Amino acid sequence: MAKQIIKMDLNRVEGDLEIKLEVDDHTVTDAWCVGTMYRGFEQILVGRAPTDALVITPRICGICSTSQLYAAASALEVAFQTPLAPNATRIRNLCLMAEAVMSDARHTFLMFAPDFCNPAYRGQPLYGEALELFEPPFKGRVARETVYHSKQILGIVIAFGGQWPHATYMMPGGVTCPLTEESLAACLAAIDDYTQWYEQTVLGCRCERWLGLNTMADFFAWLDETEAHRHSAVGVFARFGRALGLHQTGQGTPHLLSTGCYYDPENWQPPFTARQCLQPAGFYDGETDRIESFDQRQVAEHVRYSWYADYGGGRHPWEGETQPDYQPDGDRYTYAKAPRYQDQVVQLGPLSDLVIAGDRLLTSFFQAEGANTWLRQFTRFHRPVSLLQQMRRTVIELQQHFDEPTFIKSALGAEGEGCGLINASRGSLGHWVKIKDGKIANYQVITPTSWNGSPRDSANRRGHWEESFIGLEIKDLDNPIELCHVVRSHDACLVCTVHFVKGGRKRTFLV
Amino acid sequence: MYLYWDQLKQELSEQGQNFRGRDREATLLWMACGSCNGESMAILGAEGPGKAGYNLLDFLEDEGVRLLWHPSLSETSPREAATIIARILAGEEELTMLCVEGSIINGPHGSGMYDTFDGQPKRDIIRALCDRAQYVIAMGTCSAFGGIPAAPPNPSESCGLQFTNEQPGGLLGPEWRSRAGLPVINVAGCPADAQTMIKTMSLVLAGLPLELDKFNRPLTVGPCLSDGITKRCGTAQKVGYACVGCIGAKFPLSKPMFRQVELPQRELPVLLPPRAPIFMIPGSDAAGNGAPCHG
Repeated sequence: MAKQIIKMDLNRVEGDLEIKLEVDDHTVTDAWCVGTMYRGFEQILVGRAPTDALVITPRICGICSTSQLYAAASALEVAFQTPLAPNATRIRNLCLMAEAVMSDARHTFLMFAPDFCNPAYRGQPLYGEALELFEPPFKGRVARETVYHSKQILGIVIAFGGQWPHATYMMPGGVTCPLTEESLAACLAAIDDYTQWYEQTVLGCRCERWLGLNTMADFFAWLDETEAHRHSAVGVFARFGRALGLHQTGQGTPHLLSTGCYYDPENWQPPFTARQCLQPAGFYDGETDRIESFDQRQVAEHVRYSWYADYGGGRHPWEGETQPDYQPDGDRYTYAKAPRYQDQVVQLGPLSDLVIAGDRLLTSFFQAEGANTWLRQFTRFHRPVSLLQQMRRTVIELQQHFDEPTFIKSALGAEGEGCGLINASRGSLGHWVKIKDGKIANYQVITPTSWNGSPRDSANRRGHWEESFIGLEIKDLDNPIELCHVVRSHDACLVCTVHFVKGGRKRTFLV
Repeated sequence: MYLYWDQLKQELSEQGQNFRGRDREATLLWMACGSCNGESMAILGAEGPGKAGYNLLDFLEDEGVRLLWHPSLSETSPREAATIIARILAGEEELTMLCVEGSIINGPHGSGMYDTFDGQPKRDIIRALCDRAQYVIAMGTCSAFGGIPAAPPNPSESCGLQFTNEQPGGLLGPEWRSRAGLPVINVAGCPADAQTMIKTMSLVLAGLPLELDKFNRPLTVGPCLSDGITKRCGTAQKVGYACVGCIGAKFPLSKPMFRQVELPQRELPVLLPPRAPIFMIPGSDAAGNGAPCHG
């Protein structure tokens, strides 16, 4: 069969996604990620009071609005050099972790795992078991339980923020809510309930046991150890995924980036120069195999292939512009910009975050097999275990510091520039703000999906997703399940790609 | 707190209402336009009053509603979804409820090409679907009034289904009526509360008369987590900032949007003040800017 260009559309992606592939017989030879929606949040923010960002930016995304709020509050604190109540950092960290734990479960069990129930896999030995656990929509046992339990863990956000999504309880200097015994008790109950479910259903063992797994060999030994391990959700995922060869697809760029997350409550204070993160930042250079320190000044966005007025080359977000310029003809193809770090294409997400933070189990897999579809998804089973422990520690710290305030009042300035960087559940999220005369003069948001789903840059290098499709073999072009796995392993969330990729869901043969 | 499902059923049966008043299977189509997916996330039961939450799945099962398509929950592929939409437009598939989430995007320059489905402006598809639906429900302030995307300078040229902010009009025009003779039912909120969305759909399915206010909001719409009696927005004040008036038609126009309400540390007000000016957004008038959230 000759080369052809086809459009693929996927269901169950938050926001829409359109992928155009060049396929030679059944092998992908080129790819374009197309974003076709634009909402213009950055323009809406210009000219408004800086603190309006606390109300507006969470509404960028209904799935990770806590992340947007945290990034916005941090950007303003850096801009105004606002002293921060350590208890507020604890509460923010706790809520952000709860959102990540929720998102990992919903993504894994409502978005990723249902693909194992695709009719293409009827002949697979684990198919029946996959149906029992994950059958969509919400028929599988784990899928149903996920709806319930992912809601319960958000009780932590609700305890402090009153609602989820779209609460505005963080502000420069702290959080708006006082600490109460009731809210801490609610948090502990939510953590306990979730941990119990996670151990019983998802892991098939105690969290402590899981956290003792340090290497790939440890994991496979654990998997073979008992029936409970093999038939737990992670056991079924691991075996099914590897039987499909998912550990050999979707590599993409070899470079990883994490801007760091969960500020150290006692040390994250003005002048905010060193990034004091409990989950450290870094850039993993895939060519030298070394982790280097992260410097936000090395971030630049390109618009050469995007529907924006072209400024030529890359620009740091403080100097960035978002001036839409839709041109249906020509070689521009998306509303997403192309962010690059040190002029490199990088991949972001929980795997990048945890490898850079030195997680032993994931690093062991990463060193042996590189980043791949299976490992990215496996990370979302693994991450909540350590997060749940860290959440419990954070609640205990809050109890120990119960009499301290959650907010320090200080006057906000009229001028400043700052950036707020955190790790959302899909990877690093950055807000860059410039304030003049007490108003927002420029606001740029770079979401993890902007990085991962980016188009080609000024040097015509493909974005990470685009690269990760190259060489993929799609057996049935009418049922491109192999592609679904790769895309979903990135937790594609186009809603939050602020420059606002939203696509038709057509899958038409163009040639 | 809004009534929960069984309470509602009981209440209706006490009033002698036949709850399953319809003779045909009901169908539901959910479309997302310029949205953050907040309503989809919320309706999974994730926000709202805690453990007794009743979610979309429970609702569909209980009510025997057939979900034709939901962009992030359905297994149906987008290509099949396009077929379903075509069948509805051709009159081959009944559409009882059309739920729309997200603002209607008209940019750039009125073309609608900032948000497309199947290569067409999604706006045009929504308009055609509305004419086929027995009931059209705007889920959230964005599809009702335009919401945050319609905040000045409204870069995406967003509007709501029958309003642009507080101005009647929007995509369909003020005179438009659904097949059941109703205007778009505006379940405002940012996001709309899960219980409110479900309760409103239940009332619609039960064929009960819906009382709408001047912004076509049913009485089920109240401030987030309000007790429904005092109609006060509890959420924001409880955690220390002024209600942003997110169920109001002029929600995105108010400036500034964020105002802290300093709470005494470690002491939550048990009772909110009876008539608190903090509910008002500075510079707003009563029209549409939910004062207090309830216009």
